[in-house]
Amino acid sequence: MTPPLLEVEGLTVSYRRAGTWGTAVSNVSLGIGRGEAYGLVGESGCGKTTLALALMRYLPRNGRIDAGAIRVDGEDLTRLDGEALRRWRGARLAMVYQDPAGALNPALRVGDQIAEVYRFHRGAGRKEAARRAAEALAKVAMPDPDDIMRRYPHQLSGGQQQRVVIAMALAGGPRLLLLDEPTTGLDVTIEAEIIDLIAALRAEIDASILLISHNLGLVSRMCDRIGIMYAGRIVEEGPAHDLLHAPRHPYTMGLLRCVPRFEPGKGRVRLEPIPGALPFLGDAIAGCAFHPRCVLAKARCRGREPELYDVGPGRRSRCYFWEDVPQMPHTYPAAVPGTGGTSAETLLEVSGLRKSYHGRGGDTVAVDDVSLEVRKEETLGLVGESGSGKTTLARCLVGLTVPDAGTLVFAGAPEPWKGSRRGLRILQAMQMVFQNPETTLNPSWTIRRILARAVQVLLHLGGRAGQRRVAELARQVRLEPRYLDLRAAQLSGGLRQRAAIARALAGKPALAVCDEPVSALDVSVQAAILGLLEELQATEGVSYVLISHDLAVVRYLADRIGVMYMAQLVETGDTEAIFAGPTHPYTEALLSAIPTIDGDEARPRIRLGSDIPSLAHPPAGCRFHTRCPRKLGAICEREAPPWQDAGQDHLIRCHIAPDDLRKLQTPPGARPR
Amino acid sequence: MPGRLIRNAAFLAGGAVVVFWIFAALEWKVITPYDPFAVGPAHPLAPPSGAHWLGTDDLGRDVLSRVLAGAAPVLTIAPTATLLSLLGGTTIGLVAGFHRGLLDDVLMRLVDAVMSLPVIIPATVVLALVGRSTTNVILAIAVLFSPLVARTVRSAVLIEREREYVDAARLRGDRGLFIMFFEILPNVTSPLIVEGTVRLGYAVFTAGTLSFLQLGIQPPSPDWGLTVAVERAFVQIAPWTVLAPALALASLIIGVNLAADGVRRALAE
Repeated sequence: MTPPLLEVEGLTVSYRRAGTWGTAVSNVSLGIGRGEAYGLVGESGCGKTTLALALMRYLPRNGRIDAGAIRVDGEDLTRLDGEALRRWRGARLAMVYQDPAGALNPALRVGDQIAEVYRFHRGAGRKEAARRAAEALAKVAMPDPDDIMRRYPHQLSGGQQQRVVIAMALAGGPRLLLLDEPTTGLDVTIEAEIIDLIAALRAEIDASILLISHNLGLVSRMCDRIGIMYAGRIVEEGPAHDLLHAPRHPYTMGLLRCVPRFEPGKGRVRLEPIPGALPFLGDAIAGCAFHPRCVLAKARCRGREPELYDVGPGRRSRCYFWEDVPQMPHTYPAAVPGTGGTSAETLLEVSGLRKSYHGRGGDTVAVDDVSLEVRKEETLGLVGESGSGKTTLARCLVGLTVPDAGTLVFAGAPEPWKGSRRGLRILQAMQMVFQNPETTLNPSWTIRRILARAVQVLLHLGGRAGQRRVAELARQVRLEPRYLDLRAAQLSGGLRQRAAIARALAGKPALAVCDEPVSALDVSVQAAILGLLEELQATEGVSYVLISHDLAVVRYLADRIGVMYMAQLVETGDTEAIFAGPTHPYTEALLSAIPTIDGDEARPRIRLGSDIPSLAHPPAGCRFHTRCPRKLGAICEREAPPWQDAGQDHLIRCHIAPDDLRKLQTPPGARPR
Repeated sequence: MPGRLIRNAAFLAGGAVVVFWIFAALEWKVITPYDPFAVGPAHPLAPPSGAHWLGTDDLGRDVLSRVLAGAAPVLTIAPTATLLSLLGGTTIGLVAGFHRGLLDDVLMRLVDAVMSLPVIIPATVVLALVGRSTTNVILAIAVLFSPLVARTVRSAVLIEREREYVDAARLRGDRGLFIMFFEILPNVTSPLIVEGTVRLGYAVFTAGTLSFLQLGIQPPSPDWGLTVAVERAFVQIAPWTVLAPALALASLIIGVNLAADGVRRALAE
């Protein structure tokens, strides 16, 4: 057997914080073969990015490699320094970061940035370098490379920027390509294209890939082998398909059980959050690092840390009881009573909502003639790519943004749009849960003060009565009382989001607008928050408008779904009806773009192209026609499509009749969904 | 943060100088070897000696005593003016940054207008109009520094007002004033503290300059700027009379700036 390209042996990395050293990566050994794609999966804080930085020898100044070796082609990187290291980076190791906008220099033209790699690493002359940069751009499927070369990074979309970064990474002809969450900030449709691109490039370039991601679906689609990291250790490793379908470590099993899935045809699968919380950097845990959160843990696990045992062909697991993992007991949260039937009573009715912004290139319509209704105790999911107007719509609903036109009827009474003109009744009844747990809570206030203020203003409850209500809210969102006197910076993302949900519940709302409530959270935390939202709906009777780019999340929680494209609703209907089809061609593409753990091969792959038209100049006729794979012809460019009824309140805004859509969307030979 | 400050050598050095001058300003009556106002016609312009470490001035007054006592006026004027400019500037910055729109435009153009001139020119004009007094010097510096503080606060407020906790406050029905002073203000204190310490350095400098132009305090005060102005006629024959107060002023400005730099770094980390 030829030696692997990358060999990491016993790597241990620590960070110094407040004067003490904490271990972030602990005794990690792994090997990546030539041409192999290896996926490293774990939640935030598990050490996966630290490992990548250590591989690049890019650790920050408070980080150090304590022990171990990193060998690429047999040469130990930990011994390289200065100029030698500089030559290594880029030439043999290249990294693609999560945020492409941050990886590109905003002051330099894209072409010059790529050309520099050829000049530095390949010794090419100016002209030669420029020519090869153009070739590199063509290779990453950029149309019109010469035009792109002359642009600055801000003139490119997020997907295009990431392509440029990939082109730069490949320019040095690396032996190993490190991808750190390469698609995390991108829309699913664009993510799908980047994944396809990397898959296509793999065949062409002779490089191994280390992909770091929290997204099990993504690594499942892209990688040959997977390593699962927890608390700085590799806890399980094996071939991708085997590992994801028959995990041999309780943490892997736990992760798989908290990811919302949508296997075609299956109904709602309940999520199981992993109990407990991730350990902090440098927390010393006796025995197995995972035992405090493990349902299989026994006395032995608290004693000595298990080694990585061989548990099958090419598989290793750091668990004493790996044989018991397939029968791992479920930890479903307490059963949620009757979320089933939603009442038919309308809570919120919006019609003709329109909001435009003035810009240099004329008016941009962010929400264009949207009408929708939310029924009591139901969840309406809103999905669409970024820029489709979901968030503007949400802000209009709660009164933070005043639309240009439209009417709002809440609980049978018309209400003004402007928040400051709304009465206490509607302020209590309509609240919002925001996306970003970092900024949703005032950093200089304690959680108790935040909740108490909401209770005081919304319910006019102060003093003892107010404190009682605060305690009640904390109980409802399962926030332990000891957290109440802390500030946001001292809490984890999940706890912050719980506090934010508690704040929204302060006035006993009938409707909570949730704008991407879980998109910034780790999967195990996400499962817990989704479960909490579900439970609160059952016990408190709250309706939700749930905005998310993640269709699996929407499917998990929503009773009905609205799909938005370029400021307009293009489809509405019951969740099951939409997932069963027929669907709008845009929804179809969204569904096919999501990388899933299972059934990937069976689903048709539809790619839209990342060239989204500008909202300031929307295409005439159907706005989707420029990207639509099912475009009929001239009619789509000329006439705005009508709403067509696909039965049972399922409406599709398309020129193609629902029955024809159904025929088109049933793959030949496949059983009808 | 205190730990980081203590490990910062520049901050320690600057802080020590400032503390020394504050001590002098408070206790000069106790520590001065001679009465700084006592005229001694027997030894005018005597060079430094064992009896008079820094020599005497044209009226035979002990220069060391006058330099120590001279810390008092500048350390009254500069901190008071800085505090007042922080108060005024914070209010203007909060209101302009939070409300935006026409109010912001008007306020910021006024700020631009004030900032387009070197501080000393409008200060001279104002003091010439309202009369020379310590109070007027304080007010003039405060008024002229407020726009600079306002600009700093405004830019911090512009970032904070877009944060979701402000939206959440609006959603529960809280009004602008509450949001500005209770939600946003606590989160802009870091830039405010930095701005305050930097402004203090400039305030010392400006107060010294105005004294030198004799627009503020009048003789026989031992104020440094004033002393330099009065004694500069003798700079050729008795340079110590000018050098001592000039170096004192410079050391205080440098000390404040070093300390300010330390505070800024500690807050930035």
